[in-house]
Amino acid sequence: MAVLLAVLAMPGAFAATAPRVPEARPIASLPIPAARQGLTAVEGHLWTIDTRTGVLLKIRASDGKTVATLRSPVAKPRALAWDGKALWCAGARGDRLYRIDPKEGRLLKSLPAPKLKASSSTTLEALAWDGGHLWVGIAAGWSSSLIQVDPESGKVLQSIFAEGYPRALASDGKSLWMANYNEGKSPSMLARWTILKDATKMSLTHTFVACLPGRDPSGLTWDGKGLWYADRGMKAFQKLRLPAEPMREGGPA
Amino acid sequence: MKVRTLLLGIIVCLLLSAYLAPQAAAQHKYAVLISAGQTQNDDQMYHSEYWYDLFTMYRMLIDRGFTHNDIFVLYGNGTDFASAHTNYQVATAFPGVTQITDFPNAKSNVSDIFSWLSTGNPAHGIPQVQPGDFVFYWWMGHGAWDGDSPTGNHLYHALIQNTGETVTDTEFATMLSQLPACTVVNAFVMTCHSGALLDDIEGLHTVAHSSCRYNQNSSSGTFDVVHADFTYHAGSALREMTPNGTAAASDADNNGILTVREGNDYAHAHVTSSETVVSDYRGLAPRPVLANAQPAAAIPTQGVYSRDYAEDDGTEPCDYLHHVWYEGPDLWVRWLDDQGTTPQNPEFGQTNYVYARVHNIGCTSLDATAALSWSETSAWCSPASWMPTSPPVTISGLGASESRVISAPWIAVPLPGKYCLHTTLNAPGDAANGDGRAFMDNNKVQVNVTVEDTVSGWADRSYWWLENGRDERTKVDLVVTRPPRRAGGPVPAVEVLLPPDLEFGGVSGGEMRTTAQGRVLTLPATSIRVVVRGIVLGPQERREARLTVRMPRQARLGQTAVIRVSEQIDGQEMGGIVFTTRVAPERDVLAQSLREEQRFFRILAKAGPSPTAERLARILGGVKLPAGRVDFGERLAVHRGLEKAKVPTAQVDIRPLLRRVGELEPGLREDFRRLLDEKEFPAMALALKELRASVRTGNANQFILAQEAIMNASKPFFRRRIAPG
Repeated sequence: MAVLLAVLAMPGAFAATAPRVPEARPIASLPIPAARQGLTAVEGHLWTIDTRTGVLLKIRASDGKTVATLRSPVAKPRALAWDGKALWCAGARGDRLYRIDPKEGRLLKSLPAPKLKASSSTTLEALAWDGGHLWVGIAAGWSSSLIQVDPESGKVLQSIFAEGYPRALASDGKSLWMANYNEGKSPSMLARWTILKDATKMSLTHTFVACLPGRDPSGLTWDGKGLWYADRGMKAFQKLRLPAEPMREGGPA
Repeated sequence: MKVRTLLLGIIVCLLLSAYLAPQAAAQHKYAVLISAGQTQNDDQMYHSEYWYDLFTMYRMLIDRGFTHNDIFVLYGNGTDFASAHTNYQVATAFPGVTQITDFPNAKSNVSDIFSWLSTGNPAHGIPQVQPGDFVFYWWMGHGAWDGDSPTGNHLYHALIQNTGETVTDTEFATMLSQLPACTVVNAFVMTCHSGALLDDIEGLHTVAHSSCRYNQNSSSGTFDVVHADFTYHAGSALREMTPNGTAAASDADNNGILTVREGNDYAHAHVTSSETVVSDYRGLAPRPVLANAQPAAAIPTQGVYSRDYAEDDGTEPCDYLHHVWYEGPDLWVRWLDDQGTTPQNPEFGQTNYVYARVHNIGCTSLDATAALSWSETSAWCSPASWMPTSPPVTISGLGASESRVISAPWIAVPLPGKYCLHTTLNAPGDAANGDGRAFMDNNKVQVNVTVEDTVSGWADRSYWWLENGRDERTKVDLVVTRPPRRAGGPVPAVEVLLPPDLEFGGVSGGEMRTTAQGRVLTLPATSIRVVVRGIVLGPQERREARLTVRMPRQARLGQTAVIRVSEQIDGQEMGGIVFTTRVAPERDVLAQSLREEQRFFRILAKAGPSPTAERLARILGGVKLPAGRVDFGERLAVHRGLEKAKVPTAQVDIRPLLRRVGELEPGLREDFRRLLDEKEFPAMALALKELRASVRTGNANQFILAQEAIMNASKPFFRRRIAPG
């Protein structure tokens, strides 16, 4: 009783706090060696990057076996996306976006990557395909942005602030997910936007949907049924079951 | 007896405190905190800071003695975030307070809060800010740099993340300008590119600090929780304590009073992810303190003034012992009436333009006059000897807290040499005092200038920036070229002075030597192109360089030398400038010289007495000199891409006049022998000898040099006559 009274007397002890975002539970796990970066799903397979060699690897999702390899068109590849027919690849410097034939590795196209107007250092961190356009995640402090690019012309269609460090991106055509990196000091969280043509309206749909299993995300992709997640701190790709959506919507009350 | 003494002491203390209390309480301190987003979850970088940083600043202000009623908070949708971190919970930190957010974020509310503070809004419990009150302002969120305006103003907007609305830099300026004149504003802006806002919100009573330069991003880090670097360090500095209670040694002089400047310095030193920028027009930052327990900041808020140096806040006398007070930013000369703000040395033989910046630091508008004048350096503090460069300029309706730039043509520029320029301001109730020492009177400004001449034989020195316009470290080639020499064309001597620590790969086509001033690149007479290869410059780095073009004495009048300087990267030109020096018409130069000589002899006659000087002044005054002046518009036109200016031609042959001046030289010699002492006279004798020789040979350049030598040699006399004591 005395303990209870003491607790009650502590100011703020029962202050209402924000509801915790539920965790995304792994429903499948694919063991991999470390040093993998980037992730994109292609018909039962996952493409990723071996960061030690810079080689692109095609891994069978059922058993993790590497079934194909490709030379990267860029020295230090960082991000991958699959547009239904070909792979898109970009390096961290973010000079260009490369579209390559997944069978022979032939370069089909290259586009100038979107740039932010700042002298501060920025890095291209992630790519995603929303069914018609590329999304490019650029880390630039408070200017970190998610930029929608026309795959034909390279023209920037719209840009929204990432509200986080955009380490990995994925899309199912309707939503855009981002794995937020917190310097490895706090668990990463999965943010979601509804893809809209109006950047302002799209920004207002920002919400956090799940806590991710790791603190150092390196890849995220939608395989048609669920999200695969890669993390530098884990020797596995994990397929996640997302909690019931969403906790709360962003935007004005 | 002891009891009576004690009582007396108490009464004195009470009387004193009654006297002092109104002064201390005269200034009220308020704060506006705007966190332009809404935190949904804890511990998410570039997101959770909306709440954590707001809370950090709020707690700092409470610790500094602000009451909850003094602080106006705009945040998210109007509801506090319920953090899981005890250190960021309202109920924990401020028992009894249910919420710190006053209004939801909306552009209309941002505008309204400043409007309400300017008029008062009892319905919202907002007081009316009074002139002299202190307003602390903090904004946090996203910002963007929208390029630059044609006048070089950085364009900027900030985003209200949770509504999608934007606020532009001019809108910010308008909102802040609603506060009463003389409100002391201390602004902290934490967004990417926030440095781009400073040129819009700077003001006579504003100290603003941005989290980064106009072209930089701002970043966060993990401290106790995630914070924007800038807010964390600024908040810690102003509170002298980090959010988790560790002491922050921001009170640099350790006197127990933390000034805004000390807070700024600490924040600037500790933010490493970007370069923070302080805008402090009058150098007020050492004065205001946030702590409500401290007396109000004594910031001068009366009258009209111009600055003796950049940080001059108007105090009389200014801090002349610790600042160079005769190179101030509020008085300068331009060759053209082009509104430029970079000082140029007055050009002899043409109309120059004197610019002055005048500030009304008072709380009401006023009318003022500005007298612009020049003097010999020996007369620097003797207003009676100052000669107007133009009629006084009337400044009508100079608004409260307004700064205005005025300009007036300076037609009769004296001979090449060192002079003083002065501004003397007068306004009703704030007249200039009789002290000629500009530092003693905030109505006066003095700058020292060097009148230069670029006619034949004179050096034309031009400063420019060697610049890397890229956002990355780059190797730049500096290319200096001149067109191939035409038959009979002058070959000027060309030198480029570069910084001593400049890192470069090599030189071709010329020579580089190291001097005490820096590295000197020389373009030999036989070369038309010299290249300094591989100069290493950081992102957007600029280094000052100086080009000197010296026309040969045998150059004919009207001849022109063109030098082109450009920066190239991988053979591609990134920027450049063309310098054109022209040999001016001799008659015009001489006519202008004689005008100045007339003025000189008139002064000498008055100060002397010197009968010969009087005769000379009368002769020179009686001659109608050609109206034409040496106009260096052609050189300037090339600089600035303007149309070529026509060079007027003198219609009068002034050789006979020269001869008459020469004939009077013996009389002048006798006068000076009387006016100067034994040590001073030899220099004058030499100058007069030069004058006689120049008249005999008809050498115009020698005549001008002799004139200058006479003026220099006469200075000891004028110093005795004019200088105080």
